[in-house]
This record gives sequence, structure tokens and C-alpha cells, in this order.
Amino acid sequence: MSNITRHYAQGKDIVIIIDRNLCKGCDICVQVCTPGTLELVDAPDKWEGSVVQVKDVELCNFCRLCEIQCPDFAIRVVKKAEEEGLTMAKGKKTSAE
Amino acid sequence: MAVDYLHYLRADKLPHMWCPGCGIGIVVKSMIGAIDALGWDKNETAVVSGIGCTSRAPGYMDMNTLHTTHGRALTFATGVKMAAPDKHVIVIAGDGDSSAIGGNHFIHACRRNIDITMIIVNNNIYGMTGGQFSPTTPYGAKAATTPHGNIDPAFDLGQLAIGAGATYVARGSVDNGRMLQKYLKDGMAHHGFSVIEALSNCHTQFGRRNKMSDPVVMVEWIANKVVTKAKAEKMPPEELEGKIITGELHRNDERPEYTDEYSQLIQRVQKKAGVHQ
Repeated sequence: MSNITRHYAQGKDIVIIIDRNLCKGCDICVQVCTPGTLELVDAPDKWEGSVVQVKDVELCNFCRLCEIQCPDFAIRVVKKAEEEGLTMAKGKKTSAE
Repeated sequence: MAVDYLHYLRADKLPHMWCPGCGIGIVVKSMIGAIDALGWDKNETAVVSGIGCTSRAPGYMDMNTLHTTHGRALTFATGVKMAAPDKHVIVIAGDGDSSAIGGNHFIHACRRNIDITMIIVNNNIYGMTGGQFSPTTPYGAKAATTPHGNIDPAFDLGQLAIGAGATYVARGSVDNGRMLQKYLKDGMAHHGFSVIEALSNCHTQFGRRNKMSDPVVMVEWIANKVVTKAKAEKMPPEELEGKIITGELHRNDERPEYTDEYSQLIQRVQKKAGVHQ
């Protein structure tokens, strides 16, 4: 299973990309997100015990605070056109689906 | 435009070794954002550090990086800048690395006004070595070596840098990555010695001993403690008690820069001696 999950908003030009491998479950992104797009879930396989996931991508208002405040480079909030060419962990380039 | 953060990082080294929620990651991210906004080539940029949690940052950055001895990052950076004055040199150091072990180098680099950007990640403690109190640990705070509270007054790194002669001094905090990125960008663009202090959280060593072991709680503590310069000017002094002022604290574009002065000196002496290039 890929560590990288992508969430495409239906009505808006927003893509949320989360690299589960980089997330340490610190909860900062969930706290800074005013619309409540993100949530923390238990992850027994992770050393920290929790990991972030997208609760509802449609709530996102593209403030990108989660991306700016994430200390672990785990969240990217981009426009659909910007998605291609973003460098991902392990140095692999992304390709738009 | 989205910043391609991992383009500037050694992506195969991630995830990094900092604790979950550590502010150093936010500072590194803001630093990359500033480098990206200025359009600097990563091959033309050198990042130098000493020892400490913060000083692990160059290890993750895909640039010309140096991980040097404790407190001596500025001396190595001065060497890099003197050898290649057209390259961009950034020093990233912790509060202990820059104001205690490297305090002497720090004040003299400020005095000299060499075109280096110094980023000080101030987390109020020696995080890597077990939480000993540092010169920036607040009065009364607990640390591994001050279990009954710290009785030393803390350094104000911004005022120290201004007093020593730095020509750009700003302060940001990790609760506001956007603002931090703005000051880092201004400091990097400034021609002269610039100091940007980033107030950061060490919930593992500082927070754990001061009832803030959760990163979110500690970042909120920083957010409640800082006041922007514009807001502070309108506030009465009694309300400013215990607050830390963020923003651009000092700027002087008039003073000559050291590598410029040095190249002029070479030309002057060569002309006098009749040496032609």
C-alpha cells in the first residue's frame, strides 16, 4: 500500500496530499484547521500511535495553514494544476492521476 | 504558487529525527519557503550549522551543507563567504549554540557585518543533551539542571544582536509560519549580517518540566506570549509585562558590508603596490 494518499475536492480546485510515512501524529495540523478538514486516527503500526487523515476534503478552504505549520513535510495542499511535478519522499516525482 | 519543499530536501533522509511536533521542522519549512520566494539556486546556497537539535537541519537540506563544531558555525560560514562572496550563506543554530558556546563568535560576526543570514531557533533549552538550562531559559522555568526553577535572567537575543551591531534583526515564532517566512526572506535579501530569531517549542525537554508536554499546548503558549511590534506600540507597558515582541526589530542599510570592504582593500593595496591584475 502506498504511503501517499490524495484527496480531490469535487466542487473546488483543491488537492490534499498526505504522506503517512512522514506524519508523526503531533496534532498541530488538526488544531490549526478551522473548518475541521483533518482528523487524527489511531495507528498501532506507527511508533507515535496516531496519524493524520482527511475527514472531509470538501470542507477545505485552501488556507494552507496545515501545510505551513506541519513540521514533518507530511501535508501538501495544492491546486490540481500544481500537483504534477511535486517532489515526494524517496525522491520520486508524482504523476497526476 | 506551491513551494516544492522536498526539492530542497534530501527526501530519502525523511522522516527527520526531530520529535513529533518540533518547531524546528516549521522553521526549516519557512526557510525553504523564503529561499524559494527569492529564487535562490540551491547549488549557490550554503547552509552551515554547529551542534544541537537545530544543527541537524543541514543534514536534511539538499544544498551545500556544513555540520561543524559546537558554536563555531559562524566561523566556518565566514570562511565560506570570504572564499565565495557571490554565494548565499545561511547559518542555522540553536539558542545555546549561538549565545552560549558560540556567543563570542556571534557578537563579533554582528560587529563585522558580513553578509550572512543567521537563523537562531530559540527553544529555551538544550534539547539534545537532556534539557539543561540555556542562556535563554526564562526566569523561574524548570530544567534538568534547575529542578527548583531558574534564577538566571534570560538573554534577549534580538537586543543582543542589535547591541553588537547586526544590521537586520527580526523575530518570529513557530505559531505563525507565514510571518516567520516573511522575516527570513527579508533577512536573506538584506546585504549585511542579518539575525532572525525564531521562537520555537521543545515540549520534550522544556515543556515536559513546565506542564506543557503536548506540542499543541506549547505552541499555544508561545502564541499567547508573543505580540507583534505594531500592536506592542499601542499597548500600555503594564500589559507588555512578560510578552515578547516579534517583527522587524532593527534595520540599517547604511553600514558597509565586510566582503565589499575587503575587496576594496585588496584593490587599494594592489594599486598602491603597483600590482596589476
